[in-house]
Amino acid sequence: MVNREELVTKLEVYGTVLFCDENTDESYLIVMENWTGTIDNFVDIVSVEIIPTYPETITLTLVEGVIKSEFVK
Amino acid sequence: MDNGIWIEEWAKSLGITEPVNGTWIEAIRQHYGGEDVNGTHLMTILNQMGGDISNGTMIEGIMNAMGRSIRNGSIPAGIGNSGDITIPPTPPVGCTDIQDVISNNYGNYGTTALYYMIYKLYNYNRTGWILLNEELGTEELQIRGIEFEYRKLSSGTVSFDNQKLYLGHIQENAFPSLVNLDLSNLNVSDLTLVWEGTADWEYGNPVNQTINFDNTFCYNGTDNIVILWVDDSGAYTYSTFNIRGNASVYLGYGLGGDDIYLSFRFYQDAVPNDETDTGTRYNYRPNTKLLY
Repeated sequence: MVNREELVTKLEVYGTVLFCDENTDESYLIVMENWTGTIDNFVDIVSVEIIPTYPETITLTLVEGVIKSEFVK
Repeated sequence: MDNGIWIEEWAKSLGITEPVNGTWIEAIRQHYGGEDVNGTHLMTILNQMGGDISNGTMIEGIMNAMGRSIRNGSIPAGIGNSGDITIPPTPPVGCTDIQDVISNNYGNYGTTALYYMIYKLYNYNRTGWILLNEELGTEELQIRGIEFEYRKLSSGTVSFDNQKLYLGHIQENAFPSLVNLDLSNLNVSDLTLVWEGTADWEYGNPVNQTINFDNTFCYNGTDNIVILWVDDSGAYTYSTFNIRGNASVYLGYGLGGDDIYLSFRFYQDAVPNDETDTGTRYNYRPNTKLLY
């Protein structure tokens, strides 16, 4: 089970959360802008907060400060 | 000569006295049982009028029998100039026009959203999938549209403009590991822009989307068909107001299956270079039906 409040708190250190929630029954989605960290910073956070529940990363991109990522069970 | 008068005379030569739905060509079509007129019908007319084609084409033979002449001996396509004859819009010879028929379903999608063809979390998408000759059959048929499944879980409608749909004949029975976005590393012919416009995605879990082509496509009954979808909207979507709203529109959805390398997809936020960028192949296709 994803602790959304804790996840958002960690993500907001690096940028603005546009979407962070369960997307469908099968996936969890995060969209952020103004990301100031690295892609590794993001991976470190989701590895703890999301991957245990949604182990498969189907997309993860960082382009011009915008992060788009989706994880599935 | 005036094209409309010529068609009227043609119709009357068949014993037709009134136009149908305001047109003589529709009356001719119905005279032949709903089929579009083609060379076989022209030959029938020629024989009925006692003409012959010893000095030219069937059209010339009919014209001679009617006491008409064709300027310069040629028959230009399209809108005719004064003195020219415009051939009625018929499918290419050999391409049967069966109207209002929907094909079987092609595709292997299930019930979950792990896989997708158009991924509207990203600005630009390219996707393609192959329909095999062994699925399509050997009849040369005019394809008028396509129906496929997608799902969008949030309410309301989201629209994306600059969408293009192409159909072509393809020799390959599967995609290579990397697919040039312009299909230039494949044996593709007759690639035709059949539709372009704005795609409106409504709520559906799933829902069928029908696209009636602007330009029909004549399947040759021999090759496979490749369907190429080009999404140049330059926009993406996600929902912030619905916990279980979807952040993306999935064209096609479901679990991977047995359609070995029959599709490819590509998505990114930057404008693609179709000459150099490549897509990745997959083992699934959206549930797809052809409209004849």
